[in-house]
Amino acid sequence: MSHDHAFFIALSYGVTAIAVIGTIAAIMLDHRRLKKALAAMGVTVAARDDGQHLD
Amino acid sequence: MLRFANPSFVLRFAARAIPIFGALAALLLAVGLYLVFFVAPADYQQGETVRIMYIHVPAAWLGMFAYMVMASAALGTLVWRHPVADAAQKSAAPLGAMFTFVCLVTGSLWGKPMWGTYWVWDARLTSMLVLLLIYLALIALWNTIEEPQRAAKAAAVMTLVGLVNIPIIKFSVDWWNTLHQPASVFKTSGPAIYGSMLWPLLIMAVGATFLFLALHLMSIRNEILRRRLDRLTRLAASANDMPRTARFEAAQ
Repeated sequence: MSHDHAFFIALSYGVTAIAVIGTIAAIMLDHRRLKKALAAMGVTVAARDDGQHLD
Repeated sequence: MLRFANPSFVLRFAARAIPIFGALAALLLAVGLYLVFFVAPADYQQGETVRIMYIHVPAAWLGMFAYMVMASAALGTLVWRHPVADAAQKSAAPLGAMFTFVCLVTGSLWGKPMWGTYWVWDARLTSMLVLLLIYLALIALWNTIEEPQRAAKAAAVMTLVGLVNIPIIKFSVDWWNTLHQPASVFKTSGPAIYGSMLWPLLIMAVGATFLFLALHLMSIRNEILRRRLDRLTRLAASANDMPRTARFEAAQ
């Protein structure tokens, strides 16, 4: 394998890993923030039945 | 079907399914990466560079799959006006954009050593770029319209209009002369790719699909919680705005 090709392969997998790990981290941090905010208002995450209503 | 679209049911289902889908994704991607780097042979023409295919192709498939999920949810929003359908649609957009972005970047990095250029205005590449722009436009639309129901309706209509791009992406390599190679897996005559390369590719694709499903459920769960929080914040704000006597009457 030439160095040139190894560079492109490594960069491809590196960019993919950063994109995937970044997305997972962003979603998990968002979840943590939302849970904290709801807990501060005295609401647990799965303890009520909304029917079809979200808003 | 609407019974299963109950937000509380979705939260319960997500709590059970996310660890299972996440574990399956991790396992399949680990096995897939082992096969990609230690078992799959180099291509007789492209050499080792062909290993970029194992992330580029699943990313392209998932970029389009996420859009199909969004289009199905858009129908749910327009026909049944169901908020969970809107939450599912909204949650899939950033994931679809991420996979499309990965597809474009890895394709560009594969194109440089193979074609001698990072980018050409080829029908397949251009239609894939249009898909990314549609995703970004939809995300912007949700962030621009404050009223959730109006945003949901507008995004659902725009998603269904943008659906026309999916067959264009799929058939662009047949309809026009493109630098991009034609389909080699999903063909009526069967896959034009050896099993030693096909199996790692399929395992990576199934692993990436489970990753998408886990991330999508996590995002839907966040969206449901965000709307609960918004609703509670609005209720608290309106309660604080009430005159003292009205608040007393409301409390009775």
